Order: sequence, then structure tokens, then C-alpha cells
Amino acid sequence: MKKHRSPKDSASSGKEQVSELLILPDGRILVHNLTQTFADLLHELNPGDEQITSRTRLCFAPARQVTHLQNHELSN
Amino acid sequence: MIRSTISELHGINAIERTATGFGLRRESRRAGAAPLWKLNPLSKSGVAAALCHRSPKSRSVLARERARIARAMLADCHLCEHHCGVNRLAGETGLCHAGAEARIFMAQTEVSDELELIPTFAIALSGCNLRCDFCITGGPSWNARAGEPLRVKELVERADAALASGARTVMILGGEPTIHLPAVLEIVAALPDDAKLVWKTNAHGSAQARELLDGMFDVWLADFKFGKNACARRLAKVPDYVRIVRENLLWANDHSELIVRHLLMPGHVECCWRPVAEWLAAALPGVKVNLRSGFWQAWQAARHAELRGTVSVPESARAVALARRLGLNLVP
Repeated sequence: MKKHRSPKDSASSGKEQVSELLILPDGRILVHNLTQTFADLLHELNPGDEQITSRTRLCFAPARQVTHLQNHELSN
Repeated sequence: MIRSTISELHGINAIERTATGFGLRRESRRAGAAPLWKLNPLSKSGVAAALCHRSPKSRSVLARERARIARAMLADCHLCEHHCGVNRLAGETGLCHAGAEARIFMAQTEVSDELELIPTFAIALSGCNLRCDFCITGGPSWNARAGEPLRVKELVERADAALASGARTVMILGGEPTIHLPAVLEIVAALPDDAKLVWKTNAHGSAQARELLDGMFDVWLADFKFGKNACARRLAKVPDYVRIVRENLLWANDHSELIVRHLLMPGHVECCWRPVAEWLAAALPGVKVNLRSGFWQAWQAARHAELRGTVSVPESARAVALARRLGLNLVP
């Protein structure tokens, strides 16, 4: 499992965002704690993934994201 | 008034020994045959007035009133179906181990949830009343002291900023937020009245908790994890799971928008998903259902052989096919 930490956001409370993903041997990727930043990254890696694309298209200015720690799941 | 109510509650408590969840046998105070809120003058008058849908009061005003009621009720906690009856105001803790003050382990804008709800500013409170071995946030969910103290003003400022930046909803979750109902209501009271609020719950709340929640949230996003009590007992150490969740879902469907979420677990399609799906089709036709297949081995899942992997593609396909056969309203 890989943890991805986004850079601190100037408009945030100073906390990091944390997303987690699990890459399975069959190529499936499970994501937990999906933030907009991480959704954008995954979309760049695999633009054909509809699940991610539908979350990326949502307009949410990254520069003003409110951030912090743990949880949540595309997986759960 | 709150103080006198608390002493009254102590007066009506009958001590009895009950077998409860988590495999423990413990002393539990219970309020006899009558529900707590019917014996609590503050709660009775406050809830009765506050719960009227036609009330001209705004949500924030109602939430503020109910937060006081909920806090007083911590003196004899029956917020969830464990009905521990402990005095959390005096430092006692029940099965969730939560004290009187809520803590927070996450607050962030996310896009993981149902498409109609995202982006959501998700606020996760520490502690839970279930003990799911596979919990993806097991650390803070099993530990009500994890995270940071809840600072409502600061948190709501962040929620406001998120809403201004495009977040569609504010979601309160855990752990399990029901165990922190006073704090939850304080948060609701401080949020804008027109913010769309989502209650993410394990659907194990009591009737008292539901009364206080009535009209507070636009959407209930409720888990229905297990289709069989045997699985619930083995994997989450909770008795009588199915009846309690069904009761909560039926109530939620009558009182707000409802989305039912089921996380497929490897090896549990037949024992858990099938009965959940069949019941939803029969009892809540048309209800929105989000079927999640991204289970991974987290927390203490490895204690159970079948949970040491992920849901296979054929298993997932079988689950979706069943949902379609039953005509479930699957939402992404």
C-alpha cells in the first residue's frame, strides 16, 4: 500500500492530505481517502477510468481545498 | 434545569446485569421499561417541540436546543442500541469508550463518496460503538481518544470555506458519530442553515438518538454491512445487528433522503449481500444503494481467513448481477 501526501496547501489549516491506494496484481487499483488532488493524479495515469474521471470533472479549486488527515474510501 | 434532569435520571435508573456486545458481560444501567426520553422532562419537552417539522425555528436553532438535551442525556447514555446507561458526564464509559467530549481524526474535502454528494467536506469523529475487525480506520475508530479535541468554531470555519470553494455537502461520520450526538448537534447549530448535510452512520443508533436527529440532516448515508447476525457477531462483536439496522433504515427512509451502502466482503456475498439486497428490494423498493467492491485487508481483518484478500472480479460481478435481478436502484 502506498500513501500519497500532497504538499501543504496555503489556504488550508496547514495539515497534509493523505490518500492511500492498493495496487492489486491483476491491475485493479483500490483507493481510500480520495482527495481531489489525488483523483486528478489518478486520472492523469489512467484517463480511461470512468470512476475516477467522474470525480475529477467536479470543479473544485485545489488552491482553496480544506485539508487534513485520514479516512474515507472509494473502497469502503 | 439540566442538572435537575440528570439527578432525576439517576433516580429512575435500575441496575441490572445484562449481556452486551463486544463479548463482554458488564453492569449496565437501564431505564427500565420506559424509554429514557419519556422519563426525561427536559428531553420530552425539548424534543417534542424541536421535532415538529412545521416548527418555524431554523435548523440551527433546533440543533442548539437539542445539543443541550443530548448533552444532558449523556448522564445515562442510550444514544445507541447498546444502551449502556453509563454516566459519561461523570467519566464513566460504555462499550464505545467515548467520554463526554468528542474528538476528531479527520476533516477534509473528499471525492470518494457517492457522486451526488461530492465534493464533500467530511468530518470524522473518533470512536465507534461497533468493533469491525476489518475497519479501514480501525485505529481512530476503536479509540475515542484518538485525534484532536473538537473545536467547533474552527471546524465550521473550515467547512464554510470548503462550501464556498465548491463542496456540495458537509458529511459527519466516524468512527460512529451517533455516540457524539451532543457535539454533532453543536456542529449542525454552527453550520449555515442551507448547507446540505449528510449523516454517515452504521445505523446502530437508538430511538432516542433518532428523535434528536430528526430534521437535522438532508441525507442519511447508512451502512448495512452484514446480512446475518452470525457474521455481525463474529466480525464486529455486535448482537442483534440485522434487526437494529433495519429499524434505523426504515426510520431514515421515512424522515430524510436515504442512501444505503454495502461494502462487499470477500466470501460474504451469499451470507451478507444476498439477504441485505433481498430485504432492501422488499422493504425499501427504489431506495438508493451504493455497492462497494473495494474491500481491502485493513486493521485486524487478518484474524479472519476469508478477509485476508480482496473481492474477486467474479464475486463482484455476481453481487452486481444479483442487485440488478432484484431491481435495486444502484447509485455510483
